[in-house]
Amino acid sequence: MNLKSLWPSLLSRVLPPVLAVACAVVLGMLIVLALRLNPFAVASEVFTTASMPPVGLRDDVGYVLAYATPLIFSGLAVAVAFRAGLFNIGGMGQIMIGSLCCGLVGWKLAALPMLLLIPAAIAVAAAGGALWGAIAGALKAWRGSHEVIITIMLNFVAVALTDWLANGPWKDPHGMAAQLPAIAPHARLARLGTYPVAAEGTPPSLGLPIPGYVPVNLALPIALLLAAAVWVWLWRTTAGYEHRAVGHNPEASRAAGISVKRVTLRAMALSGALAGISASDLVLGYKHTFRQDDAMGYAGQAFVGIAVSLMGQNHPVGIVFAALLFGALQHTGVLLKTIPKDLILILQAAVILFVICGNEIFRRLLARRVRPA
Amino acid sequence: MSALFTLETAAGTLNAAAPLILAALAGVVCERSGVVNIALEGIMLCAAFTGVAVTHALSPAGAAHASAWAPWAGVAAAAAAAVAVALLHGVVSIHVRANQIISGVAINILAVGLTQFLCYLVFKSSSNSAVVASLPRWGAGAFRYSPLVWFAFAAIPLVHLLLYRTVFGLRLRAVGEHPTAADTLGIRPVRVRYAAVALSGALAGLGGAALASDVSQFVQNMTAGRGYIALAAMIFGKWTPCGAAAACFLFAFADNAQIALQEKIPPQFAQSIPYLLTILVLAGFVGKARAPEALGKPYAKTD
Amino acid sequence: MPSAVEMIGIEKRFPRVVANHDVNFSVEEGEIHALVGENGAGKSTLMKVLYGLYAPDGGTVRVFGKEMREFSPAAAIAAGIGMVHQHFMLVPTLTVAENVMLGMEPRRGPFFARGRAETEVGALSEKYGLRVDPGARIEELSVGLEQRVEILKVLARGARILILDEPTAVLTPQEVEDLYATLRSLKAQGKTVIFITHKLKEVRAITDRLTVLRRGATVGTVASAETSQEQIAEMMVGRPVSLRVEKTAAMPTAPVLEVRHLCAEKLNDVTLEVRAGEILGIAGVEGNGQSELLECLSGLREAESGEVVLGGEDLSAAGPPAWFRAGLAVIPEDRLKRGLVGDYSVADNLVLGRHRLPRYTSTGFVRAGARDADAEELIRRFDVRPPEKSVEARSLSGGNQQKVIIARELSRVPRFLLAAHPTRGVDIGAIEFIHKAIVAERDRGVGVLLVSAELSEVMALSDRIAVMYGGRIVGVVSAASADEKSLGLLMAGGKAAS
Repeated sequence: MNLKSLWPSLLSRVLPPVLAVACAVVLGMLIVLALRLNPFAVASEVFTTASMPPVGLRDDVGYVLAYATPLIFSGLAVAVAFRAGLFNIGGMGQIMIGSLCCGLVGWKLAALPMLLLIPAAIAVAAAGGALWGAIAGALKAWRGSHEVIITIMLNFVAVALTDWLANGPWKDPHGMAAQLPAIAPHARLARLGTYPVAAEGTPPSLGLPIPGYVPVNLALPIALLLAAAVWVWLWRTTAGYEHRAVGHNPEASRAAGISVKRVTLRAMALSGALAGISASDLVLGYKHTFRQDDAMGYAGQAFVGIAVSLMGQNHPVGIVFAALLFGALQHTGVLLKTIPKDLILILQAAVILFVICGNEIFRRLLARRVRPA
Repeated sequence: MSALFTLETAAGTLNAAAPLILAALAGVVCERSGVVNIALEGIMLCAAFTGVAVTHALSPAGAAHASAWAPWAGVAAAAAAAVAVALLHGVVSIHVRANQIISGVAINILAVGLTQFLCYLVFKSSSNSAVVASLPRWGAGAFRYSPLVWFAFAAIPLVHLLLYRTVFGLRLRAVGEHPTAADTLGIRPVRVRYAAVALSGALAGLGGAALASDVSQFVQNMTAGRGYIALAAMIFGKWTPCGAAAACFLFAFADNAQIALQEKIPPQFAQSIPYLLTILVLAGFVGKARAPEALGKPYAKTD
Repeated sequence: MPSAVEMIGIEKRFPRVVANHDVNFSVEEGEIHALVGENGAGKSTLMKVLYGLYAPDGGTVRVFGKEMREFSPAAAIAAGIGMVHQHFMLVPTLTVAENVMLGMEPRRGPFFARGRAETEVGALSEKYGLRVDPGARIEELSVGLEQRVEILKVLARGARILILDEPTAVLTPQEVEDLYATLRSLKAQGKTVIFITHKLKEVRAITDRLTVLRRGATVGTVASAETSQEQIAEMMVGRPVSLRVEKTAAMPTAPVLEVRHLCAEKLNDVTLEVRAGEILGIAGVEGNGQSELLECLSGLREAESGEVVLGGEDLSAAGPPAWFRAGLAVIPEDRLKRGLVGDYSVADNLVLGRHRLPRYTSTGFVRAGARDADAEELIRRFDVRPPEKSVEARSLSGGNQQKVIIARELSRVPRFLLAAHPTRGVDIGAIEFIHKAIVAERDRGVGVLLVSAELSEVMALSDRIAVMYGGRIVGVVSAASADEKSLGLLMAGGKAAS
């Protein structure tokens, strides 16, 4: 392969996200300076807090991983749709529906043994998310409705629907809030960390050197496996080949005999399924029940998933790194003392804006370079 | 059913409709020029906070002793802040020609972070501000509203006139449908779009100010999806000012009626009506909504 | 009195081609002057120079005796030139008056003086006999009326010279008559009209003089009335071209493709037959239904009525997969739009459409080994350069992109090959290669349907030639007996000289 021709395209893919992060860091420093504070003092304060005994950095690593987990799921969801030329902005609704389905299975099918119950709960969560995504996909493929507006609307419908169901017949009689009864104890996914004393009622844990109260759990390896699976599916399977072909050039795909409608439907369903599987983290690994307000806060991370996917240039490997970066950013927010943690949201938004502008500017620069040839 | 059409429901409906109307009109103005505006939610939120913060800053002795013009200055500041945020969206969408939808999403995230950040700095709490002086109430009986509510109703015919009767409106619609044709006749699509985006920001900003002035304070994420409902109303109203406003009244009524209907229909269903109707419209099952032809397509002369 | 337009020694070069070379063109005030020539003869380029869309690389342009120093549409409009583009520049949701007045609106304060605009447009349309309701919305109008609005737009801006780019291409015969009436009335009021066309009948019907361009150069200017259609056709097409393709006589057998009474958009009762082992060429000026015919013959467009049979199977309502199963291979009209995924590698493009074959997929996975091995083989056999299977198809030259498509399509081992403009935008070396490949398929017993805007290509490659005009097949001749003059006449809508 000709390296000279590879360089510009590789650079154009890696440089915008890196520059975007650099710009966001500068922006963050400027904001801190504007508050008449020393950015380096703030940074050292974050590190001092982070490495405080007795747990030191192990606690922080755990939290970064915990924050990164949902971002990998929703980042993958956005990327899969993007690769077929679609924009799934409905991750929030798909996570809500998936989580409700997950909590329902974990509670109602408690009679199943663990090795059946956990896969069943995850599969039904995926199916719920897939269904919610497929509505938008079907309307796009057969009615030509714009998937962006449809998925935004479906977000609100999903929130109302889960709120109604978690308040209605399935409501936990002992709970104050809109929530389902807890899932069966053996439906819980193991935490990665270690409990100093494994008391009654603590979730199972794997015993890694992370404090057990940090909610990072087996959903993280599930997310990493899914990232690998998405990569394999997109670039190694015939279906993935068709998927990306439609994303690049639907017209040529149709002329080659690929059903663009079917690919569109499948893309949105898969994207929704990936978002829905976040429920394994929220319901099975973290809260151990479906609770409306928790789920809404968690599902809101789907919007950050858009940023993660963009940062990772819609590539599973890039998404994992971007999710870790954003996870670290969110955890930093928690450690901030002298500055409101909302600074993190500002920087996340700034990164998105910087990336889309950077991509566009690079694309134009490249086009200018290539044209005279 | 008689409980549905009480004076209270009517009064509440009009009050709830006003911010929606301003935001929906903002959406109409922006999208008819060809620029997608998902950022309405964030623009409103920024305006709501700015209005409250400026009113607060101008009332050193607290809400009770504020001078009469402080809340008015707050409204002006709210509109100005909204225009600034809208122009940020404008630069990204019109000048850089980046994806307008993603820009809108990013601005909505930005607005949540920025307002809470500043709220903490000004009021030492990121969840809500102090109570500030509010605008006077105009009207009679159950229908005593902030002037911004009355302005919202007046804005419906005004925006209609602007779009369909003025030279600017004619050019705006031409640019949203066929920018190349407009360009060949000496109209600069980029300039028209910037103007539309700025005006859209001002309208949405007044919507945000109306929201804050209703409760005399800023509460975190107080728009609570109203920007998206406005977007739904705009589509349901087929991108026309009168249609969008009518949809706002319908949606506000559904929201207010849920209190009266609570016994019979789950309130969540009433809440979903705007979204379900919009999905049906977009799917072509109820009427047919036609978006401006050049919507979401950046205009570049040389490409 | 100076001429309305004088263009002397115009030179316009593009990166790969010379579009205009030493072109001289002059139009007297008050005449209707036709600019004729085949596709790619340089007519549009010349007019874009006149309208200021291109700056010439050499030569002089004078309008009413004044030399043009600046080349921009604004300068052209100021000099009194107006252009009616082939693709209309109208805003469909606005009214006629709004479209005409856009950018120079009559005002009352900030308001658009709609009444005054409509009166003005009404008066203008009355004056030139361009009847159209100023209050009607563009989207409600027929194409003929839309064209009137375009002409009104130009007149409202004070044009004294009107350029019409193939104005009759989109019109019905009745609308053509109305347009002629309009042009005569414009002429009567002293306007000058330049009329780009390649239809000989209308040249003689409406114009005073005509200038013929061929391959970027002026052939000559003659008085329309004193020149026969045959003479114009000869000027357009020129002497026999040197394009030669080595091939033996065809030995056609049974029909492969049978099209009977096919009707669809722009297609009007098309009947034709392609036999195994022959090349049927379709000659015709672009826009006469060839694109629609190609779509109907590859599953991209459903027939409204009639039969389309490939290998004994009626496929008039079938999609692309059924067509490929029945033995179709396609070289599409627009490579990057229909033929290739530009962002995909050459290897990935070489299996596009064949990726579901057991050779290239097993249990859902791509068989990369088979794909790459076949890609290398095809790249060598079809001489794709650079010989790299992993470069993006977009980065190849036009000729090499075309080779990738041909390599892929021929590896389907088709029984019917649909070749649309197979050498368009392709370098000389590749042209010969592509022609040889097509003839080799014919000799293998494949039925070939060739559509090309290059008459010389159709004549060199085909065994039989069908001429398409106005969505119909207006004549079928054997290639051996065809001559350019009579074909040119048929293509231009004239009668065959028998």
